[in-house]
Amino acid sequence: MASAGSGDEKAAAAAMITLISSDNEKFEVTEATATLSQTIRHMIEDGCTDGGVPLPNVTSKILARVIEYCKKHATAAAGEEGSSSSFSDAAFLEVDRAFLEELEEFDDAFLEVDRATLFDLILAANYLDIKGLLNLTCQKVADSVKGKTPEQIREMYNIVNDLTPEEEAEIRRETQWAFE
Amino acid sequence: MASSPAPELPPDDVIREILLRLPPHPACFQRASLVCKHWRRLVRDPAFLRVHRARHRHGVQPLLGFFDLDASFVPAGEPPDRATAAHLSSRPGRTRVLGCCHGRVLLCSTLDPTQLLVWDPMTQGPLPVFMGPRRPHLGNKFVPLPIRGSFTCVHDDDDDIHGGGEDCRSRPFRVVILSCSGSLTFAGIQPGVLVGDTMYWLSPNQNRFVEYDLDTNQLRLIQGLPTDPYGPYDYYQGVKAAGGGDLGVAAVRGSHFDLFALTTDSDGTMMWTKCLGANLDEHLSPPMKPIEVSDEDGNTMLFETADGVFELELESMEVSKVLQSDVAM
Repeated sequence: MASAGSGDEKAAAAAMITLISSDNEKFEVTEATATLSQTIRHMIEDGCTDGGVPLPNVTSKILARVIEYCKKHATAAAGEEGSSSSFSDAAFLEVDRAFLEELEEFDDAFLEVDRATLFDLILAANYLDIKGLLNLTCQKVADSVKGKTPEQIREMYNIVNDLTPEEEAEIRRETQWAFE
Repeated sequence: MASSPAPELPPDDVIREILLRLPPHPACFQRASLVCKHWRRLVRDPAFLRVHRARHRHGVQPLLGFFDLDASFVPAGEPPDRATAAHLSSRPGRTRVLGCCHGRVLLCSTLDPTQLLVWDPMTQGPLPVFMGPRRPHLGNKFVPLPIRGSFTCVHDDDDDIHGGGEDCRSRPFRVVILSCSGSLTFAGIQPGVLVGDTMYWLSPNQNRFVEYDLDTNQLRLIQGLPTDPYGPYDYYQGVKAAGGGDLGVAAVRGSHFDLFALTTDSDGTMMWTKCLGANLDEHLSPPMKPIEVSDEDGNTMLFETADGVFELELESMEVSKVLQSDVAM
């Protein structure tokens, strides 16, 4: 393919990065997609991506999801760059808005996963340093926690209550204007 | 979705990332503290609290409730985020609310109006009592009656206290009292709005603002409120405009809402410039009645409808329900 392809294709082929999951599965992604991860961006800058990037902390199942997210958002980032360099009339803004809405819908659907997967995604986003994904997933967990009682939170996340009754009383005393 | 077994919690820095995204509501923090020792430590960490405060300072601050004139507390919201009224209502004696700011309430004794009290309803701590204004040359014959009072938090210019800094409830404050005596009347004057270092009190009846500059100690009147082709609006409220930098006035006619900012043209003439117009019936079901409250941040309005009381956030124009229709305020 490289010998027959045009110059553009060659450039595109050269900008592919191979990511290797903990269970040894290989994923080919464009550099634009991969560099949403600051961790991988630094590796590319240091020139240590030849032969693939091993990600021993990320399973293939999670890596596939992370790549799905990065592909979508890399397109969005490219779109934004395009819009700032060209005209910005009302029609263009309208297109922009539609795209942002689509992106939001994608994010909502992306978060429809069980809690274990959500935590794996958070860990992967943290390890790979993907700000958007970390924000999205952490916000989802925070939203699920904010209206819950301490008992419900413990149950959701398998946490053992190790507070003594005295400590609980102290916390409630600190906020004497307690809540219902 | 919740059928799988509860997963193991991620490491501390990730839990911190999650807790940072909890809304800045004290009820959320109390509940997170009550989960386990580990979470309690994370939530109490001063470094964490600083980052959390910095992260949420531009958003809408949580509304716990209202104090009515005699300092009874009316909690807002729904359980479990609703504060219990009992504790916050244990007010000190016969008092009237003059104003409040960032968790402190300024009270005036109804028995002796020159006696002012500073009350911190959350800690119920000791009440600093001090004497309000007297006019020495009149003796005590005409005691000026405090009409409105406000706090302003004292902070250095380079000390971004409302930003990433600490809670300003533990910091010094100034008290500004608007009193009247003799021929001056301030009937119907609204609670003050602090813009920069200047306090503004709106008196819709008299079609003017009273302006007091805390830096220069100067008092002046700003005459005239904005009108539309039909004349004066039904309701006016002093607010902040231009991202909090200018004095603004929110004006309501029926369900139509306009926001004006006080601007100065090149000749130095002051005028009201309209910055926003909106139809509130998109968010609220008419008929709606604006309610006058003391909002020291000057960025919200309250409306009463048949469904309850709603808060309108002026910057985002977002509406949220704060009281059910059966709660009397």
